[in-house]
Amino acid sequence: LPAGGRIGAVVKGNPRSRTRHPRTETETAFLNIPYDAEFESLYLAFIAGVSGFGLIPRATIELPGSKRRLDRILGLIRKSHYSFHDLSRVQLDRRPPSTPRFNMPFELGLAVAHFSAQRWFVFEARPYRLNKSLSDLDGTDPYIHGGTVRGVLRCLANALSRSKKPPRIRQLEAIYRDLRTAARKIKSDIRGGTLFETGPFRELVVIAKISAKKNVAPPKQVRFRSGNRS
Amino acid sequence: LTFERLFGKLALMRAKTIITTPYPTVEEVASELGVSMKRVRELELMMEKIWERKKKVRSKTGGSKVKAVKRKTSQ
Repeated sequence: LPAGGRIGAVVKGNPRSRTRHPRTETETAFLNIPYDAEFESLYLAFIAGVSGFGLIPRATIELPGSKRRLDRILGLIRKSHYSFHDLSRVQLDRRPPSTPRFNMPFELGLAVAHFSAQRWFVFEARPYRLNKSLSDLDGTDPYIHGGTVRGVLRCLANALSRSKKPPRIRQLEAIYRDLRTAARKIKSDIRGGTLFETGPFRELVVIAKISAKKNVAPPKQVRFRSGNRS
Repeated sequence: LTFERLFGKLALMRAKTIITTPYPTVEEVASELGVSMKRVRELELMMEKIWERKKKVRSKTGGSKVKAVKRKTSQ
């Protein structure tokens, strides 16, 4: 705690007698993104960007358990405060029988039903493709990241802001670089496993937070000088 | 800018969602995700090592990777 008193207490010596508000609960963000090796860098970019804005990323890959998968997904969406959906994987799956993956549009539908506007965000790699692939969303402009890390971070910076000291894109990029280096180490530790698993995902989120603490300085506590004003 | 162009640009701009909650601490993130504090300390140590190594590389190369590549090729 900063010098000056308890949380929520009136700070002594403050000429305007401001009260410090207690910390509210942390906000989480549901990530609905493809889990494949080709998408790995963008997966890291989403974790880095969302963590840089002070949200805690959550994803369906961290949901082991015996409960029905749909119930677990619904539970996660209900717990989250925001949701981010990347619909850039629209091509057919290579493995026979070749089908498109419907999981992400389905989870987007669940989130749209649950969240109010400005709480869910749609991302795409190519402009105008969503108008064809999901025309029900006509009138909702997706954020076009172009399939690049910088694009994802730029889109997140366009979608979100913070009331105090919003992170800059170069700070988000610094978090991403740290995360990428750490991801290599984690990959070598798990020997043959992927980053799209429960343990690695959770550790990546913690690492992103550690990096954000260093790269994105949280707003400093205001200290008031004691003494009278003339 | 003509009025129509300006209006078109403004129409394309979307309002940002502003996050007002404070940044969570590393401990809060870890407890939310169920990562043990022992593992958090290990990860913090790993990051310290990574930053230290990066700092060393930067101090050797004078601050940029480009210079390091140039030096290598010139030798």
